[in-house]
Amino acid sequence: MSKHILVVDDSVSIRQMVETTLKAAHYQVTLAEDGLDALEKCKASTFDFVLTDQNMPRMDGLSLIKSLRSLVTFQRTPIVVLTTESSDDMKQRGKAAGATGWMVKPFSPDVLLNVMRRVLG
Amino acid sequence: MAEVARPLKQGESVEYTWVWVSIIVLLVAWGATYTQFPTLAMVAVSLAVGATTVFSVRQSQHDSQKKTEQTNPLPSPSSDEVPPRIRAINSALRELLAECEQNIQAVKSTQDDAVHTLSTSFSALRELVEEQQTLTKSLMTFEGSEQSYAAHLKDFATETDETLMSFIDTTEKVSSSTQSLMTQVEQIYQAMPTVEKALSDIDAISSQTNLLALNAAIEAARAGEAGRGFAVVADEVRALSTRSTEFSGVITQQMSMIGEMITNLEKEARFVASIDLSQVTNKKDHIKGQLGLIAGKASQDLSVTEALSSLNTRFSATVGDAIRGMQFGDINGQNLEHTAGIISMITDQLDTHNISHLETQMEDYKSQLVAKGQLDHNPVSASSMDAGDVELF
Repeated sequence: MSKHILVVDDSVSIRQMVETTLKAAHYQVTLAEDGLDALEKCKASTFDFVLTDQNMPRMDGLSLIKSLRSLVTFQRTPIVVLTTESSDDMKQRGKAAGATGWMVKPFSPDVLLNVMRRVLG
Repeated sequence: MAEVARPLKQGESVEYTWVWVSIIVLLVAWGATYTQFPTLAMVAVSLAVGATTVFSVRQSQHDSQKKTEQTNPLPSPSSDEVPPRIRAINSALRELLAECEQNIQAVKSTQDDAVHTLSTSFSALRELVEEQQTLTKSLMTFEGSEQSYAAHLKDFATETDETLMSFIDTTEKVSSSTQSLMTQVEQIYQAMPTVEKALSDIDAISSQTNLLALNAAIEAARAGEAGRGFAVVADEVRALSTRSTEFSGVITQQMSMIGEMITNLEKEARFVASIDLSQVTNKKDHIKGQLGLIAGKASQDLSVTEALSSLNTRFSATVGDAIRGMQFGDINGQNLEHTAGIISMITDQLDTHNISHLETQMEDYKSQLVAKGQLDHNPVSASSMDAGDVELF
């Protein structure tokens, strides 16, 4: 059974490109427009992997990670941040919030899939 | 703008030039702060403060001069005292900045639309290519087999060639053997008259034996009682002779049938031997050539299959590059939004008209810039479309 991935990004094009990349690798994909949308979806079902942007309206990536880590079902779920932010300070804040990894945009599809394989095992 | 371009009066011109320089330098400082050039920002802010100080000193001198000339104290400064020239500059600047903001929004909107269209097209293209790849694979392979159709065809052509050549060789050998068989049948056929003559001789002997037995029986009868025993012997000899004649008849009949069968066999063998195998022999090379062509085409198809597979890999890599490149929409979009935010903030700041408090306001702006620079930042760091770093915690 294919792994179920939640992709969170306010950019329509990024969501579409990530979805295309993951579906080509036979992953099941669900999309969310921002942190709040993602949180609602996570409360309704479980996912094997969460890929989230940082800067989003209503709820940003780090707030989403903190909220997800407070849920029992998402305490061990891999959450990788895919963002334009690249400062060490932001990465440390992401790590402190409970992120599994940090990817700086633009992403290469091959690299993204490699990261997912490494994290998902 | 026409009002801005109007020449200033002597004296006023020098003072307002310093104000103008301060505003421009301050704008440069804002820009530098948000483009991550802190050194340039600090230099620009220093220049702005310097310009403001010069302006203040000149203003003080001007005021002192006026005090000397007029004994009455000056009224407290108010927004009404802002010279029309400064208000005109302020207004023109705000109009320009508002236009810049609109342009940025228009660029972002167009870019978002274009990237969305491109992204949709590439996604669809990728799906179509994957479908094509699946169809090509099903065309080139057998269900449940990893081996390609071309490889199967090549094997089949090779096996058919071997089988056909073996069959033709066997046929040639059979033809050759039939000639030998026919010779042997002829030899058997030639031996038949000898057997028939021997049987005829047996019949003659049997007939003479029968006649002798008959004579013996007659003589035995003439002898009377003394020849009774001899008569029994004569009868037995006669019976044996009769049986011998019967056996000879059966053998003659069987020999006749064998003779007919040998005749038929000879006829059939002669027919087989007479079949012209030259056509088969001639076609042998042609068929071998055709099978070679099939095997060659199969090898070519194998190469095409491998090339198609390589093409799909290269296509995936190209689409991957396109996906990486198209993320400029998101990256530049965030950059544009951030820049629009800066322009909006500058426009708000330009609402200040009270020139008498300019120095104080400049200091406030400086503090605000420093505070904003510490709290706010440009979320985009990428300056090329090379793939970003990855770090797993």
